[in-house]
Amino acid sequence: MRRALTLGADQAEIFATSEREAKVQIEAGDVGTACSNDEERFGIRVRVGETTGFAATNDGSPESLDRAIESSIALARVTPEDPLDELAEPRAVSNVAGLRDPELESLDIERLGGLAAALAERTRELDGRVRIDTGWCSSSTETLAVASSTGVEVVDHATSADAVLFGMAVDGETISSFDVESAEVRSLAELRSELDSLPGRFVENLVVALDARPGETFRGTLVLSRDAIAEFLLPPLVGSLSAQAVRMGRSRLGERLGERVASASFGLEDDGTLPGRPGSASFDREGLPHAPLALIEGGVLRSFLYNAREARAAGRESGSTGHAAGGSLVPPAVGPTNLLVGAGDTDEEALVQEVERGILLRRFSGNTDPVSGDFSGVAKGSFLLRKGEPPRPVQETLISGNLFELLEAISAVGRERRWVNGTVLTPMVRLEGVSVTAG
Amino acid sequence: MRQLLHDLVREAPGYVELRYHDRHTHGVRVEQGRVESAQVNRRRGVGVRVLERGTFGFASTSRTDRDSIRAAIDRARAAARASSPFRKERVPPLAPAELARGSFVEPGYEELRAKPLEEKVQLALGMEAHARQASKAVRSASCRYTEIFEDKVISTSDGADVEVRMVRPEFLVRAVAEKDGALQPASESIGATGDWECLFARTPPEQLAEKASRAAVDLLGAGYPEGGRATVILAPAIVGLLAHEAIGHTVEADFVQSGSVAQGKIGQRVGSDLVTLVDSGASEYYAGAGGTLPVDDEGVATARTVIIRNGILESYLHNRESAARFGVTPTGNARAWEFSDEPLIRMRNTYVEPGESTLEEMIAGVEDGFLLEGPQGGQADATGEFMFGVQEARRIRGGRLGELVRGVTISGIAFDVLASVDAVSREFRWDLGAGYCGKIQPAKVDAGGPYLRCQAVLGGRQ
Repeated sequence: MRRALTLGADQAEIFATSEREAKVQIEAGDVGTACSNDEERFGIRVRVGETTGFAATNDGSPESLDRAIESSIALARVTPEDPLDELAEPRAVSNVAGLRDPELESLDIERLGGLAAALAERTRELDGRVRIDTGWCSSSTETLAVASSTGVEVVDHATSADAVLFGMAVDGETISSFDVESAEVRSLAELRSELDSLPGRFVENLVVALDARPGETFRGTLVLSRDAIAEFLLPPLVGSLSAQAVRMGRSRLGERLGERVASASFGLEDDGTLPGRPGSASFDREGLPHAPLALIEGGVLRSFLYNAREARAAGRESGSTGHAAGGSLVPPAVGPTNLLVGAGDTDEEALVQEVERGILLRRFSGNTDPVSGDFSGVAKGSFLLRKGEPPRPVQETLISGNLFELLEAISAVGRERRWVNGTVLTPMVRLEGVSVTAG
Repeated sequence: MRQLLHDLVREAPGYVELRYHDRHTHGVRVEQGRVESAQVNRRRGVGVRVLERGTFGFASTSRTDRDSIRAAIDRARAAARASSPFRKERVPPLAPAELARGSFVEPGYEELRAKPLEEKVQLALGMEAHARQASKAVRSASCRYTEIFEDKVISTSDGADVEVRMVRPEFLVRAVAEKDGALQPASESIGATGDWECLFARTPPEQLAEKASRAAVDLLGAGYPEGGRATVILAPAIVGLLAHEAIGHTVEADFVQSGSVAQGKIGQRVGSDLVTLVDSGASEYYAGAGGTLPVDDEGVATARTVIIRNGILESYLHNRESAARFGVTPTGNARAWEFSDEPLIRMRNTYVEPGESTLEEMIAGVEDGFLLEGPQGGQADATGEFMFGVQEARRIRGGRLGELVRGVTISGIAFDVLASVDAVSREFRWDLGAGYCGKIQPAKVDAGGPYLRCQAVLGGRQ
């Protein structure tokens, strides 16, 4: 950072990471390639007068870092002035607990291979019709540090591991849809626990999908599973809650702060300080601490997500909400950490059984426009619901509608919350007025 | 670097594959007249793959000196030895292949490298302003320009010894129109392997900016179609998406081994006899396709692979391991995104060959249907079921183009859709050059084709 000032920058910020990763793959159901990767990365942001430049490199030699600094300064000199893009001022940071597990840190590739083999074996034992196309077990240890000429100086260490199964079921001529099950954790004990339950979930979803038949065409109810909330509902909604999207005029919620944007039963919070969660960290991409943040309370929009620049642009007196996001190879953007959907008061069974005619959505393969909220795509691994009948797996069934309109048409929120992929805590949610088209 | 890798490969026993990859990415993104991000990014290192005790071991290092690469070779060996006891089926000896030797510098690399950064920043600033000012209904606009310079050296212990240089620029412009609080985005994008002359050869950037703005404004007033099965004419970009997503992935040999819908179908009819579908490392018909690749990441010279010939499934896509398992010649489809990624079976430029009809004739032959243009991403399934979003759908009634509709998705079973093809246009376009394929790692690919007339399911509003 000091070198950047010497070479001509007026302000400088370095985000550095050092990562050691081990991964054992599962290919076509068998243990496959074992990988060992080591890498350091440096993201360098400079201010020259009132302009900004950014360069990144994974080569930590002094010559390479000098070249990257010179590139960032050269870039700053050809971009227009932006007085709002000053670097963040430092804040007190305290380390979030449970982000580093010594047991996981000492897991060698041989033991990781044993875990991957057991994962594949357990899946095969549960049902021979299930084929793992791809999967893996991986673990990584990472050191992150931010230093800037405004006085930010923070460092943290974290471990993480993930396990993934991706594949389909094949029974004679019948092939199911793809399905994927994954888990992301911070400790070896959690990884072992996830490896116990992952094959069961994977197999159950695939075997049910073998019986899928074309659905029906109607306008009705959509019940969102927890997976669907994490992967279908939240990404475009959270995209609209980014202060950057608001400033750019591409958020439909941009002018609705303090207004009701969802049914009163819906709430959403972001919290990057939860101990041991994969979405947690001691500081954000700019070296500022995270803090719990209510985004939607009782259906009312309470806050957007801000990094330092967006807070300055919006005139937010309390500054960044600690949501500068991104890795060391890109400049800071805005993004969430762990997302928590509020619990409702409806029993989960009732949430499904009360539906006259609808779809229980597990996965969505389609497009959602985060600006307009229009979505259209195929309901995957999903079920047709008709009152008094058991849920029936469907294929070739398209759903479409508008996400923001559906938020205001939430008719029930489940009582029981569970984690999805370690970063989203949510119950099931029921919405009304979705178009369903059978293929 | 070529000499260093060559020496290291020769001194190591067994099969060793070394791949030096130096990637420079330059990017600028402008939104609402402001440079949102301008960045120069360099990532380089050496990926090492060894075949030992019947399994692959892979390691990578971002340090490119002799000792660090030697240490990475040792780590790759240790990884292979550690996982080998758990492997049930050994990797067979790799299939013989036409291994490349020499230096390949794709056109445009030097020209774009020499172009000042300032010109690239000005391009993005100018085109964002052009899109924003094209209509009063446009509330916001953005423009992103990216260029990826690839420098690779690949050396294998059985003879590949090659250096490859190429550049892939991408340009995207997006406009958001507004009326009474409703927002409607639209975008235009283009990508190529080559310089700006190549990138903008068919459509200048100003026209792309105007098209994006016009589409956003027009779509703002468009209605939604009713869903259901329909006759559709797919534009080249959507044909490319169909070829890539719905067919191409199902014929990747690793996926075939897992049980994809294409398993066991070689020699069988999977489409109308009007359909010939190809994946090629070359840019067929005209220069600049975004997935152009002279040599794959196992050092194999890339081939033109006919996947479907006149409706009959003819070949899968292979790396050297799968080719050995299937007893065929490798097709040059092993690709790795960065030095730290191991090569996987991936597509390059995937397309349907042109036919003999004109678009006008094809429209005139539709009593009730849609012309679909502008893909918005898509996915396909193990079953061959696919889903693509469509930016602009125009109604066809009585053989004439009618009103615009929005919010359209098409879906179907890929081989059923190919079987329903009854007309193929003469006109051909590469049209997915700004796209990336995602299969564990990203990959720059392109896809395209002629206009195709077929049957598919449209997602609409009930």
